[in-house]
Amino acid sequence: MENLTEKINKKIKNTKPIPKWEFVSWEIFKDASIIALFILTVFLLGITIYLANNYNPWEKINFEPTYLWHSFLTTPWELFITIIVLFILIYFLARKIHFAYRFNPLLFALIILILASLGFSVAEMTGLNKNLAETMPIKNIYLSQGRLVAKTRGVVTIGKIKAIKNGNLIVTDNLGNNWTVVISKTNVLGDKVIRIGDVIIINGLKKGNIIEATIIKKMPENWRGKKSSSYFFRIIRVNI
Amino acid sequence: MMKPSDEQLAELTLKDKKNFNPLVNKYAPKIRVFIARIIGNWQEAEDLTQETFFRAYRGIASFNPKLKFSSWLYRIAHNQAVNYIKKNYRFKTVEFSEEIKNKFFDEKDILETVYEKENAEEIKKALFKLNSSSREILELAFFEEKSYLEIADILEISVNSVGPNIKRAKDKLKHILEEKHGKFNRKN
Repeated sequence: MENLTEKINKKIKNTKPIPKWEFVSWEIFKDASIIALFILTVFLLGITIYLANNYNPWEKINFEPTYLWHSFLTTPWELFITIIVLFILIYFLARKIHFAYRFNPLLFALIILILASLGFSVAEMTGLNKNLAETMPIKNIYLSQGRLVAKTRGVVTIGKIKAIKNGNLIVTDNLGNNWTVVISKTNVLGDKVIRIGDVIIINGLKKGNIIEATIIKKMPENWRGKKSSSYFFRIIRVNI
Repeated sequence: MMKPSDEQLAELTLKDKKNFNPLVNKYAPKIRVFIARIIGNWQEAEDLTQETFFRAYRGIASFNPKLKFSSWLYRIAHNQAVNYIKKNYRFKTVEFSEEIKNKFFDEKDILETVYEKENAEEIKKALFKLNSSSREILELAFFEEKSYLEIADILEISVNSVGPNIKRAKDKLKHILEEKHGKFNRKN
């Protein structure tokens, strides 16, 4: 009967060690992946904080339920979740390399967070966060979700189009106020065909009873009679 | 001429397969016992030991000489054992054969090191009731007499957490004993 060492020797008899370059390449790939993930995380962190600060009405903090609901809806959760997932991924990948597992896990996590904060600060100082947040791939996340992005601090109104006069819309809001909505420089989101009788959501600058609309969006047919809160609260106002 | 160290032999294996033989002779029996104590199956431990050395040989180029060769090898063995347990004992506890229990007891007595001698038999029995991770860390610390750094390298955990993990495993052991026999007669 063969003993254990004989069995092992027999098992490795016709095998060759994997060449060193394969391991070296793998190590380089792992290191590069961690660095790339880290840079991506810092960018996303910067964009998230920028968006949270600028695209939410957080400047008027209060604890009314509507405000809290609004904040909840307009918070870029997808980015927050992505960042958390990336941090966890970086943490576990980095722990596996170069004896990093030997160090205190909390200290290790703290170092990653500090490095990310430093990276964020650099991106913030150089204006990179702002530029990235305004670029279309990021902006599209919000546009596609119906979170309207306007480059003005504006008012938000929902009303029904009563008439079209001199190229402007005459809109009556829920309180019965009449507004002249100037749409010459308006970005129409969603359905571009707007008719009398449609209910629209308007974001823009108010001057008396005139709103210079930056964005308008037609409410869907099935909206009437239902709660408007989700549409109303998805408007995002931007400070510039 | 000075005898080459394990680490040197590992590096020389890339040039000549023969250099791997002394490592097999030295570590194969230990690795088998180590795995058997974790998985509770002597025969399967033999297969896993073969697989451990096969993987070690195939991946010898990835061995980092900053690490002790034994730590690296035990890590591979640990991974083999953990994978085996995940595969076979996901929803049940490890059942130890009498053969394993006997082999366990043949080794240096953990109890003389950890607790007082009069409790030896009871502690031996209690060891088999521990989960595999607790048993493994006690195994490394007291049977294999590995340093904290080596244990950290084998289990890929922080050096600082080795001590608390050993303490937790010892506490579990104590708890098992106290459940059965009342307050455990421990002098230290």
